[in-house]
This record gives sequence, C-alpha cells and structure tokens, in this order.
Amino acid sequence: MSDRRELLLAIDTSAGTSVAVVEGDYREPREVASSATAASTVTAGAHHPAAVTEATPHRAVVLSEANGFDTMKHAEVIGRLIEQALAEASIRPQQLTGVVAGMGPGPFTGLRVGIAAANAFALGLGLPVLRVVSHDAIAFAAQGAGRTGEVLVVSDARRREVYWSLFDLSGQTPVRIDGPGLAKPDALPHVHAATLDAAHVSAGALGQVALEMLRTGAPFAADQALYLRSPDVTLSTGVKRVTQR
Amino acid sequence: MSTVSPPAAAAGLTGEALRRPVVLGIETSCDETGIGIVRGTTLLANAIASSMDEHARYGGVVPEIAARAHLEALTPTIHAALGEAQLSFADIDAIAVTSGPGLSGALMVGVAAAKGLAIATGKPLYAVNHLVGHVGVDLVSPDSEPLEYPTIALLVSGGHTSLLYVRDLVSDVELLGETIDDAAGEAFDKVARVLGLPYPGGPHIDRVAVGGNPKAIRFPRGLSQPKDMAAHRYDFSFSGLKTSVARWVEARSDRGEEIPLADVAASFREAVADVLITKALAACADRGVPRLLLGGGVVANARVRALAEERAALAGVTLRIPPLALCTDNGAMIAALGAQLIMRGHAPSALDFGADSTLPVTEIQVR
Ligand SMILES: [Zn+2]
Repeated sequence: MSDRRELLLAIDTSAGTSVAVVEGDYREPREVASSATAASTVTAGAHHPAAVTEATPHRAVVLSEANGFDTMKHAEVIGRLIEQALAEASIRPQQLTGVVAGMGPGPFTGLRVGIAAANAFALGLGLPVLRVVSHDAIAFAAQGAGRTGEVLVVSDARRREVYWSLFDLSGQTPVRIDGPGLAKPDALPHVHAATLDAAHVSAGALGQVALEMLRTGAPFAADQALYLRSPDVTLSTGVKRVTQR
Repeated sequence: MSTVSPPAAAAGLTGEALRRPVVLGIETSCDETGIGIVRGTTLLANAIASSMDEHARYGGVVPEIAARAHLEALTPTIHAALGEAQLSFADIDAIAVTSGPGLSGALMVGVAAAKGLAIATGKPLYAVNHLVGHVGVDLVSPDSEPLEYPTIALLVSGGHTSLLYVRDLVSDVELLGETIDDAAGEAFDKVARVLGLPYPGGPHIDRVAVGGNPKAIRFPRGLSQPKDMAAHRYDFSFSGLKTSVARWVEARSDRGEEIPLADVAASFREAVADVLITKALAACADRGVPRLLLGGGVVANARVRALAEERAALAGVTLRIPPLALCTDNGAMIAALGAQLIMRGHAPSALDFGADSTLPVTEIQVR
C-alpha cells in the first residue's frame, strides 16, 4: 500500500460509551536513493534521506481513550468523552483523517447514540465514516491480551438474550468466522469454542481494527446498525369492542 | 437579569453573527427528522424526512421504528437543508437541538448527532424545548409580524396537547394545562380506526366529514363539566370521547343499522375542536391576553382552524397560525428558538444534557 498517516476518532456505544483517537503510520521502508528523490519533490532543499528509511512501517497506536461505563447515559456523556479523547491526544478535529463507528451488535437505544455522533462528526468535517463490527474490537483486544484459538465473543442483548460472534485468534489478526448473531444463552452455537463474556468495548481497539482494515484493504461494515432484532411491535388485530354484547 | 450573560459573551459570537445568527436546528422528538436553518428571524431552509408511512400499518407511531428512521435520515436531511439554504457548515454560527419533550430513543439520536456536529465544527450548541419551539416558529414565518407578548399558545399534535401562557419566549413560559390521557392527534387516529379509516386519522376524518352534520351526535366534551373546570380548567381529556364514539358506532352496527360516517366524523371533529378552542379562549379571557397562537400537526385539521378563526374573531382575540409546514414538527422551529436565545445573549448549553422525554415547558433551554 502507499504511504499514509491515518488519524482516526473511534466511537463505540454498543456497551458503555468509549471514544478514542488512534494513529496509523504506514510509511514503507525503502531504498535511500529512490526515497530521496521522492522526498525532494515535496520538501525541496530540506530533504533528509536518512529520516525516510527510519520511518516506522505499520505503526498503529492508541493516542487516547475515554470511557463511560454507565449503559444508560450514552447521550449525556458522548460529547464530553469526544472532547476528552481529543484533548488527551492533543489532536484538533481538523487534523483527523476519518471517524470509526462501532456498528454493534448492541442494545439499540445506546448503540444509535455512538453511530449518530460519529456520522454527524464526520459530516461536519467532510471525513469518511469507517464502520466496524463492535465484536471485532472485543476479539482484537482479547488477542492483544494473549487469547488464542477459537473464541466465542458473547455480549448482553437484554431481554434474556445475548449477541455472539465466533473468532479464530490463531493468526496474526482475529478472523470472524461466524456471526454476529442473537441467541438465548442456552441456545448458543459453537459450544466447542471458549466463550468470552464481554461487558466493555474499547474504542481504542475498535480504531486499531479500522487501521488494520485500511492497511489490508478489507471491506468495512455496511451503514446499517447491527440491531439483529426487529422493532418490537405487534400488528393491531382489528378494533376492540368497548361495549359488552 | 442576572441569569443572562451579557450579549457579547454568548457563545463567543459578535457582530452580525450575534445580531442575526445563522442557526442549524435539529428536531427528532417524534416521527419527523427535521433540519431547519434560520438567519435571525429569516427562514433559510426547512428539510424534513418523515417515517409516517412506516407507522401506518401499526396505527400509531412505533418509537423504535421512529428512532431507527432518524438515524438513517439525519445525514441526508442535513445535506438537504444546507443545499436548500445554499450554505456550508462554515456559514453556520450555532447549532440547536431538541432535548425534549418527546420519545426518548428518538430524541437521543438528534442529541448525539448535535453534539458530534458541534464538536467537529467548533460551533456553540443550544439544547432547547420542543414545545417552546412550536411557539418560536411563528417568528420565522414568512411575512410574519413580530410575535407580541404575552400570548396564549395552544399546541396540538399526535404527541402533545398543551396550553401555554407565554410572557417571553426565551425566559418566561408557563404551562396552563395539558392532556391528562390521549393527545388530540391520538384521538383522531383512534377514532379513525373505529371508523375503518387509515392512519394518520386527521386528514381521513376531515375527508369523510365533508357534508356531515357536526350537530348530528352530541359527543362529550372532556373536562368541561363545572366540577372539572375547577380542577382541570385548562386540561384536556380525549380518551372518553374516543370510547363514546366507539360505543355509539357499536350500538348502531349491533342493530344492523348503517353508520352515517360523515355525521360521526363531523360530530367527533366538532367535539375535539370545540373543547380545544373553548379552553384556549377561556385562558385568553382569564388572563386578559387578546392573542392566541396555534401550533402542532392537528392545526392542519380544517375544522380546528375554522372554529378558531370564527370564535377568536367573536372574542376579539388576534389569532396567529403559522403556515402548516411550520406547524408540524420541524427543525426550523428549533433553529428559530436557538436564534432567539443567542440574540438575547444566552450562553450555550453545557455538553452534558441528555434527552428528557418529559422536559417541562419552563425549561426553555437546557443549560
Ligand atoms: Zn410537536
């Protein structure tokens, strides 16, 4: 892939509220001679060939992460946490190159808060929205913490149901092999896999997943929130009588 | 007043941006995603996406369907409003958003989007009251004379039925009364179902009422008996009216008689309009306020408007009805109220506000 530096604001409200700023630096190491030519066209007279060869390839770092763990206060805290994540990373909104939105699965009301904030934030600056399955961030964080093999990520879907996704963590990065899906806890698929009950989604991990997807050119998620459940409505069954026959 | 910041301090805006601020308003309290843009008291754009069709098969607004629709409609509707106003974000001085009252899941979509947009663009953010917005929209109505205070405001929709005493739009609004059960718009929807008419009920009841006799059936006027007028002088109740219509229709059809649709629709509509306008004009008389402002989607109902015009004229009350596109829920009303707050020197809201489904009218701006 070509040289680039990504600076992303990542937002996830599929569990609590998590906001992070991540940075990806993808300048490839190369021959001094050719890079000197390339650099001189950009920075005439001030080029520094040595600096180019020292560029770090595939560096993905979390510059900041701000969290609110209350699962009922997404709308209240989302603004402050965005401000906090930007301030801790010493990043101004104008410096960002994209916005990462955690698309769920997650309880609807809260999930929408993060997606709406991410969409509007990106809109205000003309930035792309990079949509990532929230469970992918859980798997990424788990692998970073040393988990390996097949793992079934499970998170609360309320109403005595859970969301699940099956990952293979044996490669360099997690691969989602099935899901996300919705099930009763006693009817979960892939019972052979070790389960990972997740109550928190890290926006830092979400941002790192997005950086990895950008690097490899993997397709991002669709723009619909992953509700995995139809709106709770009952079709009206005609008009009820108000008087006794 | 000590609670109001000096104008120059408000939101860091100065000069023309303070005298005639360009405000983008976001409204998501029910089933309309509304984005409006005003400059001071001039309407620049009023873009609306409605999920009404998706609710039709359920006979009423389904909150989860409304909230999902808001999330999908917000970005295109913001684009549409900017396009209509021929502006970019750089031209916007401030953002205003409905904090309540309304459906909480629906409100949260707008609140979150407003916060994201405000931080990204560095614009001051005003969290405002939806009901007061219905009054404020009169200020941006084309060719509108400046709104005079005090005024009585009757706000009637599928979500609310409220009677307000507005002494000052940005600092002094009092709730005189509201519905104790169904909103007037809900009564239209429910009676439409009893009569086998589609959702939303208002326009269909209007349609079949043509040629009907409004005095054919004397349906009850809720909370209008002398005993009610003591405790609930300015409150409304429509659930008894709906039951009464259903009972009347059932008795007829049980006897194998034809239902005179036009007469039932006209008589029901008359009962709603009568109680709404009677109570609103009573408030005008009691408070000595010769001004009445109507707002909300039910104002689209022809009979409600006609009766208001007729009786207001008799009572010597000046009646104001904004254009219908501004009576139904929209973003322009939120932008208009935001602009008034800025012009009066109010500081922006703190970033911690949420969605408040029962926000009282006294809280015009959520600090
Ligand atoms: Zn309304």
